[in-house]
Amino acid sequence: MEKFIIFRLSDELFGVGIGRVVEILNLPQANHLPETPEYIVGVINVRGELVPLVDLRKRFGLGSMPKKERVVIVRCPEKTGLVVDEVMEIKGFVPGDLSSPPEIFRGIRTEYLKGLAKLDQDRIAILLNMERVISSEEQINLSALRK
Amino acid sequence: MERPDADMMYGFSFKKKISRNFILILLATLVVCQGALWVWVLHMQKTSHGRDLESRVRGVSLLLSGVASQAFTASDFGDIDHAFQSLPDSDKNIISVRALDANGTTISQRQLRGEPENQGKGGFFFLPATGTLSTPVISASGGREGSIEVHYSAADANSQIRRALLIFPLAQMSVLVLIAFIAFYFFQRKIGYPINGINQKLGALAKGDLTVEIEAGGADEMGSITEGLRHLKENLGITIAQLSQSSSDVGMAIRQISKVFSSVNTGVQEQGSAVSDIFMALQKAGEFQDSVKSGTEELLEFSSENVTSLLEVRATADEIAASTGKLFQAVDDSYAAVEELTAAAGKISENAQNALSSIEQTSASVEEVGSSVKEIEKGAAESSKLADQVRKAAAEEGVIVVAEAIEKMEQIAEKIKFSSDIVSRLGTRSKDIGGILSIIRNVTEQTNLLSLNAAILAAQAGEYGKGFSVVADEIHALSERTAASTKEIEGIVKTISKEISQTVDSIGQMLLLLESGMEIFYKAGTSTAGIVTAAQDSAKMAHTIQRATEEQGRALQQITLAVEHIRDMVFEMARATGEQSKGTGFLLDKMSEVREIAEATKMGTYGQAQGTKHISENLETANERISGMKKIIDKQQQSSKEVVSSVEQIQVIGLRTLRDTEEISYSLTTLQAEVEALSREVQKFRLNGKVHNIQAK
Repeated sequence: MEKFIIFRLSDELFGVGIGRVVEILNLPQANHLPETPEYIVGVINVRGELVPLVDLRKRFGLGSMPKKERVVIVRCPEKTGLVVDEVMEIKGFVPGDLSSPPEIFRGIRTEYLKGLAKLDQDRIAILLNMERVISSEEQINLSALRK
Repeated sequence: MERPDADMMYGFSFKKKISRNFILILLATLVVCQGALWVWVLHMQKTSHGRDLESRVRGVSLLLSGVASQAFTASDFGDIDHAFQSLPDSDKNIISVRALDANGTTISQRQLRGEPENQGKGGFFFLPATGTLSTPVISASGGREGSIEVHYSAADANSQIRRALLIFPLAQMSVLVLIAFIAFYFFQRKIGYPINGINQKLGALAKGDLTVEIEAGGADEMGSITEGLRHLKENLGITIAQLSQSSSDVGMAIRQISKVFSSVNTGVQEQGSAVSDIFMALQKAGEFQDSVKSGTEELLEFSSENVTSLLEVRATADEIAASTGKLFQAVDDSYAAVEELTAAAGKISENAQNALSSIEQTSASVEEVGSSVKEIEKGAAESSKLADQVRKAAAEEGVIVVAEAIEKMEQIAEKIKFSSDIVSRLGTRSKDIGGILSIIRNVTEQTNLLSLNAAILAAQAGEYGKGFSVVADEIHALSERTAASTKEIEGIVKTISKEISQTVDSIGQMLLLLESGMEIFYKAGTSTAGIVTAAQDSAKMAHTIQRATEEQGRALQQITLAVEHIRDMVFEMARATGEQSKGTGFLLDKMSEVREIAEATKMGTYGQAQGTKHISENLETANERISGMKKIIDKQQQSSKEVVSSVEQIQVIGLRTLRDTEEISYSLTTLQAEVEALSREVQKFRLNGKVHNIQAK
């Protein structure tokens, strides 16, 4: 059984494998950086370590429906903060619950996707491939921000 | 008025003729006009001669000045002398010429002839005898070099004017004389002769000769005058003929009237003598009547004496009768008085009885009033008591109750305010609870986050972290439940908060209501105080009424006593009047006896008086007859006197008539004389046809 952390962006649910997740934080005040892409919110200090913040809502072109905004810090492979509308739960899925991604899915390019997971009878969570979500070029940019 | 002599009037001398006067006026007018014309013409002639002379002299002067100008320029004055010498001697007008330089020095001069003898200064008709004309000498450059003076004579012009002065009037005079003769001839022929003819006719008419024939004139004014004269003559003839006729008629009438009047005169005189006779006869009748009257008067006097003595007897009898009558009357009166007295006594008794009964009624009424007063008194006492009770109740209970109520209300208000404060505090507390709840929520969230992180760590720890994962899950579940509970508490706190605010509102309203209630209570208190005052007043009034009725009761008792006393007195009086009534009845009986006796006496006296009266009456009748006779005689005398005065009046009237007729006769005679004079005057006119000769006889 593989565990995922389930969070919400707008009215969609997404999942990230728990192996990549470092911790979940309350949204702190970010230092905004000039001449950066729109989805780069800024940089935060997590216990003396500079972590860039990426607004996934903007990255995926979704609207914002914030309830309990949180920052999910992931390793990809450097620590990066993902700003989400709400962290739902930590869920373990059996292989039967998981399926491969369709060709086109709601404007999100399938290269970001790892697959789909059935949460219960009604809901489906989109499982994200974090290496794909943030490209290597972006990775370099982000690591430049850290220094 | 004497008429002027006919020849003088109608055969006028030349001096007085119209034609001469007319010609003279005409001539005078012409002479004046011609004279004025003559003067003007001569004056004009003088002016023209003067101008003529001046122009000639000026011509010479200008010529000489032209020569002099050249001479001055050349400074050779020989030319001037030469020019002077060359002037012709034939020109009689120029006496001398002279050339002067600029300084007025004579350069050259020539005397043609001597100065004229006559040195006249001229006038209205004549020019001045001599004159001098000075002409300046102008050089070529325009400067004044000197002057030429020409001295001239006007003798020639003046002699011409003098000739005209003589010839002109002579010619005028001859023309005027000729005009005068022609005018006279035509005037005489056209106007003078016809007027003469008319004059002669008028003279004849004035003399009274109406037979003259007046022939019709021409169509001019003279013709209309002759026509008018002819009409006048004819009308005059007719008028005179009529006048003649009328005067003869009047004469006849006057003669007849005169005759009638002489006969009237005779009649009036006869009438006068007849009236005188009647007058005499009447006077004689009057004397006879007087003697009759004196006889009758004597008879009347005698008869009157008899009557007087009888009347005296009768008067005595009458007096006796009257005395008896009076006596009887007195008795009668006494009787009547006694009767009235009796009736009055009866009435008094009756009245006393009535009074008694009414007093008894009054007494009963007073008693009734007394009883009703007692009832009133009782009522008043009761109402007083009631009022007292009311007052007491209102004052003691009402006021106290109201005061207590107000006090209670105030306590309630205080309590409510206290409750309100508590509730308000409660509201504050619930807000505090809200604050605590938010802290709890934060903690819960934090716990939730921690549980999540724990779960992550547990998951990453793999198999080793399984137990920790369970704990993390539990913590997560706990945090979830806490969050739910917190939410519920939040809802409850919100509801409480709302309810508290509602409660505060309702308490506020309650306070308001309470205040208004208290106000009402205050009002009730005031009203109660008013009621107390009113009740006290009514009690006071009831007391007063009670006192008054008590006094009234006492007064009524006194009245009752008084009425009873009056009743007793009236009863006594009634009894007394009853007795008096009996006494007067006895008196009445006695009086009737006296009355009977008096009546018998009265009857006797009356008979005596009756006899005397009869005699007296007879005598009076006789006397009356005599006096009637006297009256008749008097009347007769009066009548005869009136007749006499009438006759006298007739006499007077007759005399007056006589005088009037005489006056009329005289007037008629005068009239006749005048008519005769008129006739004579009319006869003087000689008329065509018949001639009226009326002679007065």
